[in-house]
Amino acid sequence: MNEPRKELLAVWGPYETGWGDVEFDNPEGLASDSLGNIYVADEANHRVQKIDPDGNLIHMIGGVRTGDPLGERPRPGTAPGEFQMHRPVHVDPEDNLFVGDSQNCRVQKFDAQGNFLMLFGSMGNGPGQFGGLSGPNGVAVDEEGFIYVTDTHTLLGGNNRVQKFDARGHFIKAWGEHGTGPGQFAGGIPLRGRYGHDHLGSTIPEGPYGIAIGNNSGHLYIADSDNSRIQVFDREGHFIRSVGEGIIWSPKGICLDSQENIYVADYHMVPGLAGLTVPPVLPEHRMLWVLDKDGALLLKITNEDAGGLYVHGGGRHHAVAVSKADESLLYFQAGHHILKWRIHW
Amino acid sequence: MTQPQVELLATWGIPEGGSGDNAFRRPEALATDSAGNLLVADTGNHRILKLDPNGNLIWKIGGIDDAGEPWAGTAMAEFNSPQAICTDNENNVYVCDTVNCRVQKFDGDGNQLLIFGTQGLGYGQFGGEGPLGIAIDENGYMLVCDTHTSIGGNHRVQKLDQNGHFVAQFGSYGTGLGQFGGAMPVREYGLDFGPGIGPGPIGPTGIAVNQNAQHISDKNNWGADIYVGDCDNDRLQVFKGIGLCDGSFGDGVVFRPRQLSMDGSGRLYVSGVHKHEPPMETYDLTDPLKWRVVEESRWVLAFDVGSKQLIGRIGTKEAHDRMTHNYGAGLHRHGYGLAVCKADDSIVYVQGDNLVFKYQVTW
Repeated sequence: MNEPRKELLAVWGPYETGWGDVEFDNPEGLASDSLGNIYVADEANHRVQKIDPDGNLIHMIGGVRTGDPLGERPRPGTAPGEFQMHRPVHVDPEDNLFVGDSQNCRVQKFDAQGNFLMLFGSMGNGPGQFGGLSGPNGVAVDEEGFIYVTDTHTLLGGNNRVQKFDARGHFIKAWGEHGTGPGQFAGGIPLRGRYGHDHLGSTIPEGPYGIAIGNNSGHLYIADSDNSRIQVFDREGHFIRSVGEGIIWSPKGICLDSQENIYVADYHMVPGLAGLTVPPVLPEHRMLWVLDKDGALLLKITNEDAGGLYVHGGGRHHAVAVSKADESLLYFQAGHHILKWRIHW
Repeated sequence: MTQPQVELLATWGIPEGGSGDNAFRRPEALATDSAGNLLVADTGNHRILKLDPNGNLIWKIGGIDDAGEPWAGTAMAEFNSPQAICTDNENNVYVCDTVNCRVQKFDGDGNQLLIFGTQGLGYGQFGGEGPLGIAIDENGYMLVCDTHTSIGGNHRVQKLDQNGHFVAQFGSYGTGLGQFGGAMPVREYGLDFGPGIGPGPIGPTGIAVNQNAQHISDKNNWGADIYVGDCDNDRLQVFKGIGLCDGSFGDGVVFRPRQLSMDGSGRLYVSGVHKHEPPMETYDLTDPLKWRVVEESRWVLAFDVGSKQLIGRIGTKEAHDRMTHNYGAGLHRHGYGLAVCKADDSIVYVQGDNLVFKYQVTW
């Protein structure tokens, strides 16, 4: 691997959690609009921040403030434009924002100015419903307006599926089930043993996680977090191939550039981890991978590359976004920080 | 008790149920607007219908599948088993989208204005049984009955502003005053007539606000009286607008109150299943099928909110005979929908199975 040079340009957010402008509490979702502005799903602050490439706040959605005497910390809500522990954010080809409002088990859509447009979804196992308590883990929208949502494992019995909706949120179809085979999700966990250190502090699987659409092939790339791979489907849910086996360990957020290179927020697959019930996840296990569309490793960014910034925040390393305005710019989340990199390809 | 004269004016729907414009499937909630139009939460068809006083369709809202049949969806203006509905003074329509655990609001023409709520235990969230009652108070706040949930009871009424923001709540789990849902684990009646099959409690169900000024004892500025159906404790509770419980009534008379509706003369109508002879205690609790729910149990009860006394029963044998289609004699699962007409409060709409009855009630 002849790795390109990588340059850390900026670190957004304080080391500890914060809830001021451009401060974060577990910002587990990132997306770029066509101008290169970045949306941050500021998960535990229950809000979305839109930030320009220089790190200035443009606007904010959500984060209910009530004047609570216990503090001004933003709170969750269930009205339109309010969120509860949301993770995925996605910008469609028309620069509308989609937010997977995870613990509210729904998806919300906004225009580029942050005006609420629509929502859909509720908690459950039926069509158009999302598994509790994790809710939707990933959202992507194709150029025809169809919406694809990764629907997670649920305590009530796994959903472990991908759901497809029309532009107004009406359910069209779903595919996927619990297992380790092609087109299945989340099956690896009971076999390999959880790494014990995930953000839920439990050993349940995650289900399908990040989702992205290739702009050349039109295929859906879906992070099969528990089976340690990326699965590729066509838009009707037919399995095409899987990539990343043997390299990635627990992929979360993913994104694609115009070459369909795959950016994966992940942990490093450490030899000897597999089979252990509670293996350690050390700072050096956390990794940002870039694979080409066939799974060949192009680049990795480690904690050392970032000067040890990953150390804070347990296993939290979930979000990645390539700027749509300048594909050499790469943003990813590490703890409560957003790191901005330039990759000299 | 001076029993009113009750006349069956019309029967809408078809006994076996259907999804056409002239049919319903268990329309478990009803409301009227100021023009006398009827809003029907057509629960089993996952849709809302607006009918004129003659029963003609004005509009309908709800999800449909590729074949055009009703569809329990999660998009906006789609519903999953809506079980409560009300209107405000501007004829806006509020729907408890019960299984989706949210509330949707529409204007009088059916245009969507608001959607809020998700499943959970937090503010603005609703328990797994979903919201089962809604009313608008004199200041325009929404009052929503938030029911039991399998992960711990909500058993409360939430007060929310016109944006769907949580403002306040009252109620907790138990059998005391101001509490809901507490009797069930003790009583364990196996055959559930409600949304949840099984012995679990439901929580608060119907709700009505007494907006009639002459009945508001408001010298302490505690707000209008709020009546809440305490389904599991077999009673109706009275709250002041600030959430203070001001007693209960209907104890020993109502059995499983479901929906409440006020007329303009201080009468509170209550649907559900009601006490009857012989008393419940003589029944075989180990075999729910041996329970007898007699005809009159399904009739709507009317209380005077001043004296808190039962003043009448609304129903007719004629209506009863029409809704015996699907079930054995005397065992009608659903008779929940209830609305006193806002334009003419001698008109009372009552649901029975797949039908809606239009009664004239003369006191």
